[in-house]
Amino acid sequence: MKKEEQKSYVLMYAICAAILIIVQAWAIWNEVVGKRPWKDYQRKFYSLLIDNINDDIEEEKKRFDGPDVQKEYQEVAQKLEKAKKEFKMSGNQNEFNKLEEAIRNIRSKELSPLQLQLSDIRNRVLEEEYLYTKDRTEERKVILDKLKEEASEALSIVEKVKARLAEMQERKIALTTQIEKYEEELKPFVAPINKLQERLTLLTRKRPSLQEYQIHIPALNEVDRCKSCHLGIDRDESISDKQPFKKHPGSYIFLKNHPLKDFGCTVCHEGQGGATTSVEKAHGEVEYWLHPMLRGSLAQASCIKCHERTDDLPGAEMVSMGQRLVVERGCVGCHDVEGFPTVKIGPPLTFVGEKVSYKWLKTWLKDPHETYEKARMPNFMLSDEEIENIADFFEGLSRGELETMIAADPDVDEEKYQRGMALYNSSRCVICHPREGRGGAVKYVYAPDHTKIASKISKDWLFRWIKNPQAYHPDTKMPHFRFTDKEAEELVTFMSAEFIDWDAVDEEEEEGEEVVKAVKRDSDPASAEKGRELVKNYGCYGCHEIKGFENESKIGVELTSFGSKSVELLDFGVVKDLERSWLSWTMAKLKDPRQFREGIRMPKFSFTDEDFDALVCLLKSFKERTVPVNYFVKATTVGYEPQGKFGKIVEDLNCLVCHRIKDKGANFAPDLTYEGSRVKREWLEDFLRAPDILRPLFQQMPRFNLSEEEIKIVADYITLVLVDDEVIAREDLGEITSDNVERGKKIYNEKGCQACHQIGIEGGAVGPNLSVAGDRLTPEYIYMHLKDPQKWGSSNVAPNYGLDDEELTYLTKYLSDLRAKKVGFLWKNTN
Amino acid sequence: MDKKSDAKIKEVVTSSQIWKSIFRRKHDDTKRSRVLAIVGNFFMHLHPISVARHALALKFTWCMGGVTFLLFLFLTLGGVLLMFYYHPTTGEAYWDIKDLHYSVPFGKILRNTHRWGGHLMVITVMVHMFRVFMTGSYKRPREFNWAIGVILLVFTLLLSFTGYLLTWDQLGMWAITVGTNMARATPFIGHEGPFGEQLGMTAHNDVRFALLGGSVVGANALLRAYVWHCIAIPLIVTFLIGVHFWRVRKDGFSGSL
Amino acid sequence: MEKYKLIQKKFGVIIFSVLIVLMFYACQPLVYSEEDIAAGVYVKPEGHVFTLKPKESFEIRNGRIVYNEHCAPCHGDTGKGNGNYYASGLEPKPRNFTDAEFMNKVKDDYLFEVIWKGTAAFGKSPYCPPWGDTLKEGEKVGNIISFLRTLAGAGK
Repeated sequence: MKKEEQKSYVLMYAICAAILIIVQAWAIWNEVVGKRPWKDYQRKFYSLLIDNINDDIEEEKKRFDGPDVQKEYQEVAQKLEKAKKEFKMSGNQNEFNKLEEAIRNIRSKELSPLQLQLSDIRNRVLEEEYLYTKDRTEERKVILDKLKEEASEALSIVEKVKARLAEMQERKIALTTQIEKYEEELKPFVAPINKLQERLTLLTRKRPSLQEYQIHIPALNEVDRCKSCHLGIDRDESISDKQPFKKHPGSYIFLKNHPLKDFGCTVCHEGQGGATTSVEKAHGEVEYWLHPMLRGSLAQASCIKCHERTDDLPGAEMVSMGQRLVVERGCVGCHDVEGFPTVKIGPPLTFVGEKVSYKWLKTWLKDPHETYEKARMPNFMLSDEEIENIADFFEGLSRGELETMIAADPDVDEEKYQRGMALYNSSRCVICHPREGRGGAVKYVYAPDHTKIASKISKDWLFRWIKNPQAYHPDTKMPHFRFTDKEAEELVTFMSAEFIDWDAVDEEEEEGEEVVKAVKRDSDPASAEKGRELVKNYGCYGCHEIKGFENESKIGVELTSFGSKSVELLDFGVVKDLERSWLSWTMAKLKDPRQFREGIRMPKFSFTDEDFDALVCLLKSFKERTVPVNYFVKATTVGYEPQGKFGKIVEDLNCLVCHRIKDKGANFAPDLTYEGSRVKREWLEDFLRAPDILRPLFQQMPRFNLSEEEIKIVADYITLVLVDDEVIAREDLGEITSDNVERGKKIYNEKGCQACHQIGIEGGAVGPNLSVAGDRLTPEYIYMHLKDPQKWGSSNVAPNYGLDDEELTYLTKYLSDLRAKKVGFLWKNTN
Repeated sequence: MDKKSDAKIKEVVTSSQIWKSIFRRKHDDTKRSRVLAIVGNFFMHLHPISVARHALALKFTWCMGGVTFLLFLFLTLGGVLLMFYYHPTTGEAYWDIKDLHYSVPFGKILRNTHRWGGHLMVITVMVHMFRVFMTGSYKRPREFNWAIGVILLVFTLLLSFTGYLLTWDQLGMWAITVGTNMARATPFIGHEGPFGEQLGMTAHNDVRFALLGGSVVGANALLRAYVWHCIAIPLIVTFLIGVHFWRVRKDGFSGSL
Repeated sequence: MEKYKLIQKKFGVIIFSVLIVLMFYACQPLVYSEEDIAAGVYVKPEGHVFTLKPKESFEIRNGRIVYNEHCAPCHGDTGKGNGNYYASGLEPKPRNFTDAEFMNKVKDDYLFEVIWKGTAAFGKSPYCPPWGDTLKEGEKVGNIISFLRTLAGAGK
């Protein structure tokens, strides 16, 4: 063994030094390249940009080399050549040169010295003036005046020379006008390529500087470095279809109204805005980051951080649909959500025993979707025994007032049947109630299918219902039609005979029972008691009004802050192959709520894929607002409620199920907000009495049998309150001559209005029938509508043709001339 | 350059007033001036003027004490650099660490070396202690140094503990919560410890309160941890390290010489 | 003295090797059994998708919304040219966008121009009006075109 002081540590030092150098090199590489993947993306972006410009240049060149363009170009080029030659040959060139030289000479030899003289004299004048102000002697004045005279003389000489020069300049220019003209004409041919070349040189002149882009908004506690990779996000044009080079989709909505420098990215899209070292980290899709990025339309979950209401926001369609779904499909019946009204979407079941047949009730409870495709009631997946118990319980709930015979009855009085059918048609029941797969076009109205309805309900109940729906179900969307008893009876007769479930009849006949049988059945009290327990357990009272359950609380959890629920708190139960994220869990829960463990009560809903996306988006939006107050956008809603007698009629007839006034209602039927300015009063009253056929069959307004007084109330309100002050009468519309009408007709046909409007029976039926436009519409409305169809609502289908005033006037006159008598077409519905 | 001009330059420089005011003694190669160079220098006078080469045997000491000290220097330097980017407030602490990671040049490696260095220092300290024990270097006359060493161990652990909270994440917050909850069970001075109540200790005036600056782990706790971690404990540790090294030199190596 | 050194040496070697082995284990990833993973005791970070992508891109969805508002009445909800409201009574019929042969021939630029300026500007019937002044945003038209491309299946 060597002594310590004789040992050499060189090897150890060498190894340590090597390690140190390697680590150093790695550290520098990591710092410059490794943890900065955005540099790569930025380089790719710039090269894509250059490629794009090169492609554009290629295209331009191709276009330029195309035969047509070349021909034109050559023409102009030749003209230019000719002009140039002429210039040379005709001696213009010589004159040009001579003029140029002369101008030069005059400038240098004559003008300059003269100007020098002039300034010299002027200076002397100034000097004299100053001296004169000092001593104010007469001599000085004389000298001063003389000098001033000299100065003005010199000035006039100079002016003369300048005038000569100007004249010569003009002559010179006149010689080259042709050449200049052709050169100007030539420019547009090559301008695009030149511009592109310029852009290319700018980009390639020096290497683009790669840098981190950061948006720092202290108010939102945000530091977003997203743009470091997504370089093209706010460009005017997208340079590629692939991320991260794409431009922001829908930028005319999103970036225009939310400029990047004021909002950043993560306030909507979440994710880890400050991260730059890897894609997953930046998107927040790593363990322990609680807010992974919301991609695409899921980002709409963030709209309500600032916007109080989203249903009128372009770009927030998905979350608005979710908001609508959660009320209309009954989610709020079991789950409390702050800010959403608790509405019981189902009909009251308090006396359902005297309304529906026992058999139908059992079939319905088994699977509502089978009975009625548009059914909102979800499938509770009850066992047969449970179904019997519940049905027994409901059977027990009846007053015993009505004669509970099922309506189905094929053998009826023929005359009543016919009259009933006419009433059925004029009342346009088919608009809301589908039958045999047609009709039911009104969105968000879930009226029962009529195809087999007679086998479902009791005849007496149907009679009472048609007479006054709101007596049974105050929140119903069905209007109160004001039928007389006789009319109602005829209708019931028709429906009883027409809408029979023949399959069930066949079944019953096989089983040997009569077709018409009693609805009521004596229910077993023990079973009914079990049924009551089940009703309480499954929370049926959340959607249906049931006697005895008025004070019960909702059975589901409160969802007000579900969007911020941490994934550790979600119960994955026995499901093993589900990804551990909030989004996955929520989607799985919506699609199959009971998969996680036994004993879950949430039923299975029949949503479409789009619905599911909207609901997930909505649920994500359920969290606290964390933005500062100056980011809030208050809803610009009026909270309209129709008042007074008009309001009562509207409520009775449920006008706003189809129509819209201000911010309330639907858009199946026309928006009535400014109806008073749109239609003439006389026509309006006629229409209310007996609605014209302006629209195709499944869109026509029913006949409500209003009394004269009611019609007056409605017409008064509409013409006085629902007006737009900006649409004023146009006195200068002038006389309607046949010439004007002819021209208007020509424009009508030229522009192709008959694609969407009918006059008589020709044309399309996207817009209303114009046969009675003169009777119906005010001329000022016609003019305004033709000029700017989107004035009263940006989603109006009619296009804006960009017509000028003259064309508009002719068209207006033509349309104002269309009256019922003239066209001779109208079928007034006057049963 | 030829030697003559070298010598001349050297002559001129070393006889200038500036040179003489900085370097008090001549630097010719005599034994005396070599000794004086060590003894008369602030940074070096803690070192012995000469050391036998075999005293540096790695096998005997494993050099762990030196490594620990080296780590301490790195941690201090790194810590100072980190302090430029760190705000000890509850709203900013966590995000500053994130920014160090993603945005600051070399911030990732700076923060990571500081963190790993802290862990390593604890390990090397323990290995050092183990070595000292195995070589019997705690025996007479080195008992006092051993005691100083133990106190240094405690302060090293405290440095780790206080530094852990500064990232203001779940790990740190709960670690400190557990630690200070243990503190409240101390006899006499903790409000949940034996005889604490009798002495009038409550959650708002016991030793836990003193440590946290409050009754919860919040902004005050963070600030106090910051002050302990960056100023108070390093000062104490520096002082104790000085004493520790001084005793090592004075007592000499316990190993084979 | 020598014996002491030897003992020390042996000790040192043993301790050192124990430390090395321990460190080796410490650096290994903790291995969980498949059952544990299945039971959710440990969740593997890689292969995770922490987010959902909506089924359609914004371009196509927005295109569909605008299409349904303005185009579907004549061209039909599925683009077959059989709009609900008797548009089939028109001559010529509205274009069938599910016709892959036709759609493969037309370029996006051409579609843009036709939609923006109307069919009349291209010598066809005037039934499809110029939508430029109505839609106003070129991007909306671009979205419509993206949606149209999905109707015929693969297109340009």
